[in-house]
Amino acid sequence: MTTTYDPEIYLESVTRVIQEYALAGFTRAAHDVNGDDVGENLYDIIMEFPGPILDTVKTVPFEKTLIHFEIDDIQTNLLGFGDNVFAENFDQSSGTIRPQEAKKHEINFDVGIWATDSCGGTTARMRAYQILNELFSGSIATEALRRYSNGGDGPIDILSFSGGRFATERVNDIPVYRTVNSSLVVRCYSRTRIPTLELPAVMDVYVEELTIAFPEGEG
Amino acid sequence: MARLTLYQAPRGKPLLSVEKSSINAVEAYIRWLSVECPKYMHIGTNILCQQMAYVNQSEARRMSFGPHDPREQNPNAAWRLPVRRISERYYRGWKVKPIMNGWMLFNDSREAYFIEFGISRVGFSWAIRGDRQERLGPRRTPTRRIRRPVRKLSLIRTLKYMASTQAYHRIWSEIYTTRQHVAGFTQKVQSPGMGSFSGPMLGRRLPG
Repeated sequence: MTTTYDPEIYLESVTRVIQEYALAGFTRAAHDVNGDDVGENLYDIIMEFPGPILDTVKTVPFEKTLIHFEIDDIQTNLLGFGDNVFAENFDQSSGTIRPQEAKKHEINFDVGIWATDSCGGTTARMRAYQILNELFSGSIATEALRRYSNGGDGPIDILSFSGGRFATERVNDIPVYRTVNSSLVVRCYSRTRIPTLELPAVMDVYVEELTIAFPEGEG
Repeated sequence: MARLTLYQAPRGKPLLSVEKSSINAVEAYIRWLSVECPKYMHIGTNILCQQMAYVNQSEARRMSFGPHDPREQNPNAAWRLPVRRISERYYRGWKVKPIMNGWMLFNDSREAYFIEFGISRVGFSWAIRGDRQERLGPRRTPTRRIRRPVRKLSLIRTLKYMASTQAYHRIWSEIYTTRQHVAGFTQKVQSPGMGSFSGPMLGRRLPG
């Protein structure tokens, strides 16, 4: 079962949806002789900068091409005016409300590719870079992620996917082919959970009929 | 020990500070130019780009002004933001210069590339003995690999700062113009090996 976007746990669900969406895309990108999707044997998606993974000499050279997504920045804006309540959840029997707030989040991911000679070298890096572009760049990709993430409670929008520069470095004396400086910006809308605290609602306001009296002769 | 200097003063021209009022004044100047002499509007947008570059520089320098630790005796300060100052070259390295179509923020220190992209000499003197990973020889190597995207985060903070000024609508339009346009805003990180299409072979060019 795949994860879909949940506005009440926005950060967790965004991270998981993007990981699963990317993994599904990379899985579809490679086939065996029978035509089956085998990309998950070639690519690994991790949702952090792979520092600790690479710091041990046991893991390099790695057999799968790594694609990392790391959250660099989250810009959050409140929605609405005044007290920013978008749903009051009025209970007519008790005359109380349990208000919910809504927020907009723009999450900026750093995206990188890591490949060694044993997993395909620069060819693996080029393929991964192209697959990433197909998954996150353009209107088709935006619509694909919207559909993938939308479980009936809101989608995730791609705002931009840009950058990417090739660099070669050495980890444990082994050449590692990297793509650095790529950014993915997505947008989502979250809401707070319905609070247990019940607040008194402002009930109907009755305005008594005004009677205007004029001095005699001026009406 | 240096004190935090947010801006590198332009040659021969002292610069005190870029405030929101400065940006707003430039915006007013651009509006006046657009009505009175639109032919010279690029002068105003160029000043705006310059001011933005200085704001970006100040944000980058703030994030590079960590604890002063020339003898590397404070390991708790390592791999964090703001960046620990060992030689201070990284902090001093943030500079602004004019380029053909705008202004560029750059860092001319060698370590800038490694800090920005999480590149380090991890594992040079380590080996596996049995099940343990042990250190060989006296050569000091970092034990962790962490990227600290000062350049990227400083640009994001700059845009947030600009969002609170009256010139933000103009920043939107200028960022997405092409480099052939009259004015623009550029950020680059120079690789230490001077780079090529595939980038430098970093491991081979490090100081011994």
